[in-house]
Formats: sequence, C-alpha cells, structure tokens
Amino acid sequence: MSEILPVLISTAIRALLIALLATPIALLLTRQLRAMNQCGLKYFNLSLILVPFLAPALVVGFSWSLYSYRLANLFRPYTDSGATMKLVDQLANEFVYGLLLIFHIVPVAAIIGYLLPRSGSAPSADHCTHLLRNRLSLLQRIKLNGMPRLPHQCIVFCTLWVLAFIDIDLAALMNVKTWSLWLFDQQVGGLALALSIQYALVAATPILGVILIAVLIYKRSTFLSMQSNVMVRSESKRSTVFAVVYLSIAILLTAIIPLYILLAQALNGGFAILLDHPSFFGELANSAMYAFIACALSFAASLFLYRLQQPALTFACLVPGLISGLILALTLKSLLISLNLHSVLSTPFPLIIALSLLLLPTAIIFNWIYINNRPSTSLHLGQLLQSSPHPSIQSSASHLVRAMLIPGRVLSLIILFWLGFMELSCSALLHPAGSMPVVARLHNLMHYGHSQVLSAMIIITLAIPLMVIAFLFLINYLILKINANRLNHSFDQKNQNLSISI
Amino acid sequence: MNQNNSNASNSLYIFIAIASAVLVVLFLLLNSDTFPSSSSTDKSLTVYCAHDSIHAQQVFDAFTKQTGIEVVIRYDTEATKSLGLIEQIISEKDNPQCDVFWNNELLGTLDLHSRGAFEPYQGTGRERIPDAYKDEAGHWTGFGARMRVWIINTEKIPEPTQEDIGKRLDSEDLSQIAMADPLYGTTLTHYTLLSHLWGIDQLKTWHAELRKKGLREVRGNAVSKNLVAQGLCDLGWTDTDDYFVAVKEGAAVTFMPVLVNHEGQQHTIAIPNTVGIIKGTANRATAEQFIDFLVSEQVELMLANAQARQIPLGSVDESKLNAQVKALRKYVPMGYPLDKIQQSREPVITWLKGRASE
Repeated sequence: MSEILPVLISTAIRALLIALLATPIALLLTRQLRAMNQCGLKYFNLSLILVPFLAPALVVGFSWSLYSYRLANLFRPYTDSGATMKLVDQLANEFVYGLLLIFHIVPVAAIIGYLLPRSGSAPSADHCTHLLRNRLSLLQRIKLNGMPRLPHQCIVFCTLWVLAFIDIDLAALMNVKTWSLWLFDQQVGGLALALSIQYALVAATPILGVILIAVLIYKRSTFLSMQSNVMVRSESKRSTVFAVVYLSIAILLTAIIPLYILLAQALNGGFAILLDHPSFFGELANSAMYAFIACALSFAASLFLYRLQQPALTFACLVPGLISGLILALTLKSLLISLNLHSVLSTPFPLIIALSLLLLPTAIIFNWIYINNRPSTSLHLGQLLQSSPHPSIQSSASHLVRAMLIPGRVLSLIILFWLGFMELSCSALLHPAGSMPVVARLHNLMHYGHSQVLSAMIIITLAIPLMVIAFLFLINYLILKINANRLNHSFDQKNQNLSISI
Repeated sequence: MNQNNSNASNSLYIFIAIASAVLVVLFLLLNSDTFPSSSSTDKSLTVYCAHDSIHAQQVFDAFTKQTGIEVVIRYDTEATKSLGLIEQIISEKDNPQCDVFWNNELLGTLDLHSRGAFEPYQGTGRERIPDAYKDEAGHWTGFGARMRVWIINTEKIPEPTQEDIGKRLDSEDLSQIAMADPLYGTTLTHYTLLSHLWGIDQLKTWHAELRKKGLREVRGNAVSKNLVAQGLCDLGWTDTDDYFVAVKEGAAVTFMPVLVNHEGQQHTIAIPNTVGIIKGTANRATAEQFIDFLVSEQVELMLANAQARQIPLGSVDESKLNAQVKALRKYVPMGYPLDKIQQSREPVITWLKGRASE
C-alpha cells in the first residue's frame, strides 16, 4: 500500500496550492453571485460562471496540452543544460495545468459558497467595524472581520481541494502525475482488481476526510440566517471589474479559443471525412441515451432524498459521486467480476448506475439552488391565486406558478445531461461491447493527436447536445408565450363582456 | 396551494419518467446486440479490438458485407490503456464474452497466450504470413505492422543521418528530443526489446541518463509526433502511423527507422497487429472465418492504403500498394523477432510501474 503514498502526497500538495490560489477567486465570485441575485439576472449569470466548469476537460486539455512546451521553450535561451530545461518543462506544465484546473473548479466552489449561509458578522456590525477601522489594530480587525468569516471560507477551500485532488481528465491530457493517473498506470501488465480497489480506497480516505472536515465545520459554526443574504453590502467596483475580467479570461481560454481551434480544423475538410464514419453517429446516440437516463435517475433521486430529509442517508448517497468516476467505475467493475456477473458488464446497466451516482451530488446541489432561489413571495401569491373561485384567475395563476418553477428545473436537467454526456472515466470503463459512448471514442482518438476529422467529431459532439438544449429552451419559451397570449386574449374577452354588461 | 405546486412539479416528473421509459425501450431495441443471448448463432461474432475504430471499422464492414456475419465490436480505449481489453479477457477467462481478440501489438497477445487464453487455429489464411510473425501452433497470427521510427523536423535537421541521431543522443542537452511514456503500447515493446538485448540494469541506466539530460517524456507517440511536427522538438520516437499523420498534415518532417544492433546485425522494430481465437468461444466457425479474412491480402492492402499505412507482412500485389508503404517494405525482413522477448516484458513493466515521479 505504501507505493501509492508518494504520489498521493504530491497530489495533495498540488491540490493545496491550487485551492489556496482559487479560494479568494471563488469567494469573490460568490459575492458577485449574491449581488447579481438582487438584479434578477441570476440564471443567466450563473450560466456564465458555469461555462469554464461545463467546458469539457477533455477538449480544454486537448487544446492546451502542447502549450506548456511552448511556454517552456520561451525560457530555453536562459537555460544552460538539459537538467535545467527539464525543470523548466515541469514548472511550465504545472503552471498551465494549475491554471486550467483553477478555471475548471472555481465555478463549483463559487456556487457552494453561494448556497452556504453567510458566516461572519451581520452587515450592520461590518459597517460599524468599517467606521471604526482607524481606531482598531490589525489584530482587532482580523478578529472582528476575518475570524467570523473563516468557516465559510474553509468550506469553500475544502471544496476546491477535493475537486483538485480528484481530477483525472485534465491530468491525463496534460501528463501531470496524479494519484489517479498513477492508479491507471498500475493496471498495465495486470493488477488484481481487488488490489486496485484497495489503492483506490487509500486515495479515497483523504477525500472523505476533507469532506468530513467541511461537514463538521458547517455543523459547528454559527451562520447568519438566510435572510441576511439579502442585506449584502454592494460590491466595490474594483472587485466587480476583477470578477468580470477573470470570467472573461476563463471563458476565453476554456471555451472560446479551444472551440475556435477545433472549428478551424474541422472546416478544413473534417466534416466531409466524417460522413464516411457513420458509426460515430451511433456512438453519439448511445451517449445521449446514457446521459438522459442517468440525468433523469439522479434528478429523481435528488428530489426523493430532499423529501426524505435524512442528512445521514443523503451523505451516504453522495459518497460514490464524490470519490471520482475512476474509483467508482473500478469498484463497480470489481464488484460485478467478483460476483461472477460478467454478463452484466455486457449490458448498459453498470454504466447507467455509475453515471447516475456520479451526477447525484450535482443534482442535489442544483435542487438546493432551485429551492433557495424560488421567488418565495411571488410564488406564495401565485399559489394563493390558484385557489381563486374564478377559472381565469386560476389559470393565469397556474401559468405564473409554472413560469416560476419550471425554468429552474429545466436548467438543472440540462446541466446534468451535459455532465453525463461528457463524462469520461465511467464511460470508458463500463460501456458494453458495441455501444461505446462518444466521449470515450474521442479520448481514444486524441491519442493520435490533432486532425481535421477528430476536430469535426468534437465540434459535432459539443454541438448536438447544445442544439437539443437550445431546442428545449425554445419549446419552453414558445409554450409559455402561447399560454400567456391565450390567457391575455381570454382576459381581454372577459373584460369586454364585463364592460358591456356594466 | 402546495397541492398546485406539487401538481406542476408532479407533471414534470411524470413526463420525465415516461420519456425515460420510452427511451430505455428504444435504446434496448436499437442495441439489442449488446445484450448476451442464451443461444449463439453462426451469424454473429464478438470481437475485442485494440486497433482503433477509425482504421478497423472498414475491415469489419467489409467482412460483414462479404459474409453476412454481423460483428459486435468492443474497442479498446486510450483512457483505459490496459485496464481495457487484455485485462478484460484475463478476467473473463472462465466465462469468455468474446470470440476473437484483435490486438494492435504483439506483447499483450503473447501474454494472453502464456495464460492459455487462445485456441489454436491453422487456417489457410495465415500461410502467406512469414513464420517470424505467427505462432507455430496457430494460437496467434500477425499481420499489418507498424515500425518504430525517429520523426525528425527537417527545418531543424535538414538532411538527417543515423550518425546525426547518435550524436544528438550523446549530447548533454536532450530537451529537444521527445519520447512517449515507455509504460505503454509500442514504446513498451521498444523498451522490452532493449531490455532483452542489453539487460535491464543497462536499460535503467540509459533511461535515467536520458531523463537527467532533459529528454521530454510525453504521454503518447502522437504527442511526440506533434512536438516535432510543430517545431517544439527537433526529433522524437514514434511509429510509422503517427509519422504519416504528420506528413498528411503537411508538417516538415522526415523519418529514420529505429535500429537496434544484435550480433553484428542491424534490426528494425516492426510491431504487427495480432489476432487469435479466444478459448471457449461459442462461435468457432465464424471466428475461423474472421481470422482467415483478417490475415488475407485484401485486408493487409486495406490497412496499408488507409491513413494508418500499416506495412503488409505477407506477399501482396505491389501495384496496389501506395508508394509510402512500398518504401517501408524493405525494413520488414530486418525486423527483430519480437516473439523472443516476451520474458523481458514483466521485469520492465514492474520497474516502470515502480519508478518514482521524474
């Protein structure tokens, strides 16, 4: 077991450094989210913040994998030996990887921070401290301002650490030695699955440990009531500008530039070649099926767990999804083989179960976001109106209630579908013969490097779910619009009748 | 009020449940061949294929067209490396799920053979394959090879020779040379051969020396190729199929075969595709048909003229061969007999898996 320790420690240190750098950024975005909430643009801005997270790590890593060498080569004239250049190579690679990983994981931590009640002193107390700042020592200011906020900051830090620690997709493409990649390497030449699971459990221990620490901090700290979230001191212009600049760079580097590179290659004959490979479209369909079923299952499970209101059971259900897709897939595969259920591995069920478990934490988080962001006053009024004896008022109220409830749910489903569609580890390990998900295929082809046809495949893989999502949004908008027009028309009719009778 | 709220939400959930059920049924209907059937038929075959689908699919399609036999294919993935097919076959040994294994290299096949995973088959198709590339008893047969080569950026090294490469390797700064992680694929085969020829201690010393001088170890042969093609490195180890991808992309590159010396003779490293019938298959007759098809001249020409430019091992009509592959054919007889190096594989893997992060 001790063989895994050196790489576990190095991964933990790397995750620590990344979490330290990313925590202030995540907290800044959290504050911006709270400020944006008051402006009523929450879903749009939430989507923007999520773009770097939703940009598939596969595509991001693939696009930037050679740039660390470009960066290192800039320093070549200043190096005097191969050994020095090797160090420069490693530092450049760690830098590019760290930067991309920070972009990837900060959105999740920002949302977690947003969901948590604020810790710290009440805004009014903050203001008093601010007024007295010239009369307080640094230590006193830290004690009054900094210490109360620590629990909230610690939980955000723990989230970032876990996400950085479990990353495998970016690490694989950037050739960064993490414990997950080490575990993958150990499979070469054969490693008993049982031993793999033991290594995986050793790796899972710090993950679960940090999650437990975060839970304990949450349980034992004093948080402000949720209503105090409304009384947020308006953000300084400087921090808003910083947040906008950061988001712009993150979206540019993780989404726009990779897409541009891929599109340029794909348009250079890639799409034409793709027509000779019809099996690719079958793989797209397979991925969509797996993703949709897993998304529906995890969504339903999150609702069920919320209604049960059993924190211990919820936490137990979250664990498989938090320990990374690689460990989950290995565990499931090991279980089925040890029970002599090889034939089950030839079915889609192991993959669907694994994907559902993997998506469950995200489904639960989005359920929390949804519940905490319902416009409670308007919703309550709408629900009261639904009890009205007048049918027209009833139907108007139903329409309003639907308009308030459904979009949030639809957004959750869309994001779950996207994450399930783009998932790699479970898809590669658990798919049945003849039914390979498209992401596993793409990752395989990336081994051969950039090519027009691969770029075309990636573009279509990204485009199809986006088109489905856009189509769903359009349908949702049209239905609401038609309903609204119909209700307006019937309301006008009734008004006319009322005027005539008067 | 809560009732109405519940009604709106319940409608959505019911819709999702019905839609999921419909999709599951559709999915099951469309993918019925992914489910194991209790009765085997002679009109289907399950193949585990380590060769990539971009190149292999046309072969499967041609087989199905000629014979009417449907093939269920499980491809290996880069993501799984050897978590994939070889380990899967080993774990399924007592309850085989596939009929044929098509590997894109030799050592993994030899490993499976040593574990008794194959049934012998001496078909007519393999008669055209040289003895050096097939098992005597017929447990496995090779076809369509790749070769280990140096890929060289001609803007950095205009007219390279083997001597130039030797001088580069002896210099103090190797940061302009790229090599794939030797734990995988053809680079593992390359290292295994070097261990077989030099002994593992000399290999370890040589490996450490290269890294100390800054040699760039990258994730795969394609990355090595990309670094050279984009001028970020001057030269690197790769395979002929990756080299030809760079040529197709218009990169300023050329190649030189990697040569090893043994008993005064120079040898190339030609790594064949290999195929064998899985022991315990329920579809023996169709498996034999598939093997004969795979090692035929038709398929070797198909693979030679495809993007991968695999070198035919058996005799083929040279007029149907493209010029690039034709130029490589002369290196095949120089290939070191790789079936002799199997014993060295395990110590190399154990060493590479155990090395500290470099």
